[in-house]
Amino acid sequence: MTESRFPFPRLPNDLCSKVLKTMDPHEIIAYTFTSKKALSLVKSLRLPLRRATTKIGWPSVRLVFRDITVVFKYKMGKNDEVMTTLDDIPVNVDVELMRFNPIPESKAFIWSNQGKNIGEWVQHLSSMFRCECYEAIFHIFNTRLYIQSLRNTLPKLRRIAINCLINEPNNQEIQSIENILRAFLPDVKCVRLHRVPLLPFRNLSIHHIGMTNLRELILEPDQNLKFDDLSTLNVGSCTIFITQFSVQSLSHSFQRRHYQWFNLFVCLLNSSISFTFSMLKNDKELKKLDDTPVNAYVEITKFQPIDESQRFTWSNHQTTLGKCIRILCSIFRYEAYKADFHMRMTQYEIQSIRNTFPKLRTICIVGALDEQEEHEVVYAQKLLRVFLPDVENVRLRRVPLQENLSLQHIGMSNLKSLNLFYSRNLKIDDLVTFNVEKYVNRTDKISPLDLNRFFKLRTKGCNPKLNTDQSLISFPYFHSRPDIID
Amino acid sequence: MAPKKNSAKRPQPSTPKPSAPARIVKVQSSDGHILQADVRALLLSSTLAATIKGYDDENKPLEKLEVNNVVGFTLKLVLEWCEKHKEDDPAIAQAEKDKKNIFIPSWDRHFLTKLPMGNLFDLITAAYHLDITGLINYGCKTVANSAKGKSTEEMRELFGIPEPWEQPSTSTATWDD
Repeated sequence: MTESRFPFPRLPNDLCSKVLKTMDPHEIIAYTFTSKKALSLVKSLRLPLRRATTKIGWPSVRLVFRDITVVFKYKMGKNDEVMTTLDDIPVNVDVELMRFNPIPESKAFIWSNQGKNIGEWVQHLSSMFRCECYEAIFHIFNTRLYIQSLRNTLPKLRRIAINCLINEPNNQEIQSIENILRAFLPDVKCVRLHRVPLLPFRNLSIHHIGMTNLRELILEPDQNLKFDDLSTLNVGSCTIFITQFSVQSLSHSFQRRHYQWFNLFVCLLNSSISFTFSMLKNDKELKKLDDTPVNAYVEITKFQPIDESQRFTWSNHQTTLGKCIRILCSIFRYEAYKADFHMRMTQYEIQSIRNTFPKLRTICIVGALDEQEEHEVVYAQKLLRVFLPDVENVRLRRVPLQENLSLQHIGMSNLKSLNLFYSRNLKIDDLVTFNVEKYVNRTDKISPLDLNRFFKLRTKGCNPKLNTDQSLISFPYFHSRPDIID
Repeated sequence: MAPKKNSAKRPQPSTPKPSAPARIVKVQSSDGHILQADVRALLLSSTLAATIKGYDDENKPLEKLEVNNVVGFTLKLVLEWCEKHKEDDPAIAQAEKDKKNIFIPSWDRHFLTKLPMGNLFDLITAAYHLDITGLINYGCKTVANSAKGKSTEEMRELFGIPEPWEQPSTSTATWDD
């Protein structure tokens, strides 16, 4: 033994453990390859590991520790080819260390293949740490994976993702996908399938996968998904990235399992969905709810983890506008529906509106910028009569208030909030009598004298229900500070 | 420069303090070398502290302590380290016992890194037998630092581990047993 050698294996095990515990993870891992005893010593330490992600295809193993991440990338041939089996031996291994604490830094090393194939590497790295979150990503391309070798190589996985690199996988690739699912589905909690063909006759159906009590299922199919298949799912949450499906089939599936699908959709998106029905064709307005829109623009906006939006165009599926509204409103359990009616643009039959819309919490009626026609005013009055018994919030923009639609009439209907924007024919006597909790009025029709009279009446006890903290009257010529009542 | 926030947690280098006159005892190594040491330095070793306490409890005169499993050269290094750290608060070493990031003061770093690896091994083993927590901490961290950034092949060279084909293939017998 030369003086430059430290006879580490001859140290008592306590001291060996102590030395190892002060090493960085990649150094510990390098040490485990020196001998079987070294590996068994490191195993006995049961060092904590937060997450281990194994990638098959372009193979790599990512180990996430508390403040260090170590990535092993296996170079398969000179051109960094795709591995086909777990028995493939890498040329060498690129090791990348990323430290986040106390200061971010990264280092890169090149290790030899240690005479091990990919399967042995994965098995070695998976065996030495105490980790409860093992996950694997399988890129399928000419891949041959067998159940027994998968089970022997990888630990119990919590998540798996299978990504089919080609549109029409061959028989061998499908067999590999089947083997992955058969090997890990009993224990796995989260499955993500990207472009995996769903083949009912080969144990690759949604029904088969969804029966296994998954916590999360993420599907990115490259073909139309039948929502009838989804009705049998037994998963905590399901994310489906799709570009086309019919509103009717969606509704049909949702109606079957109303409550659960509501949850499913929320987990799916963390997002908002906007359906915009195209109502114009050849400059012809669609004024009845029984008319069929040309198509629907659907915009899905995700808020987490980052804001992003996707837009699709759906065909009308020969469904009338009223039916679309009915379907969409029937899918979810929601109690705060709001509807905006533009008086000039929409002149739907009152009876069909009553039948189509659910109970609204908020109604907003918007008048035209120029002078309203008589029939528009009548229409606004009818709308209000239909919804006032149930509605809690009313917003009127440029809506003329006439004798049979006075503010007094609206204000008596026990509203939570009433917002008036440039309402015409506003009378101060009406304002005194209303019975709302919150009142916002932006107007140029009240004279200072009238307003003064209102304040005097207010001090005498009119509008007892009014919450003065939330109410205001503002004038367009007092831009700097709206006048708060009281 | 303002002092670092966590500097209070780090072990400070020993500084001579006015204290009671040193009580010197003789320490004999396994190969018969006799060295002299201050009792306060020897108290850093839990093993020797227990022996000294036994003598004191029985009011026996402590003339010579025998350390049977440490050779003279190594014992001299141990006593040199203990002499340097005799004023240290033992709680600091205890607190660092299970830490991953151990800060080695400059005197100790110099003291440990100048040693040939074989002597470092003997020193750490002696510290283990004598149960000197501080020396164990610094010794082990020095070994870990010597392996920093090394690949498997380099570690095999550093730690004197034979190549795989030279190791026994049976699962029960390891190559160094």
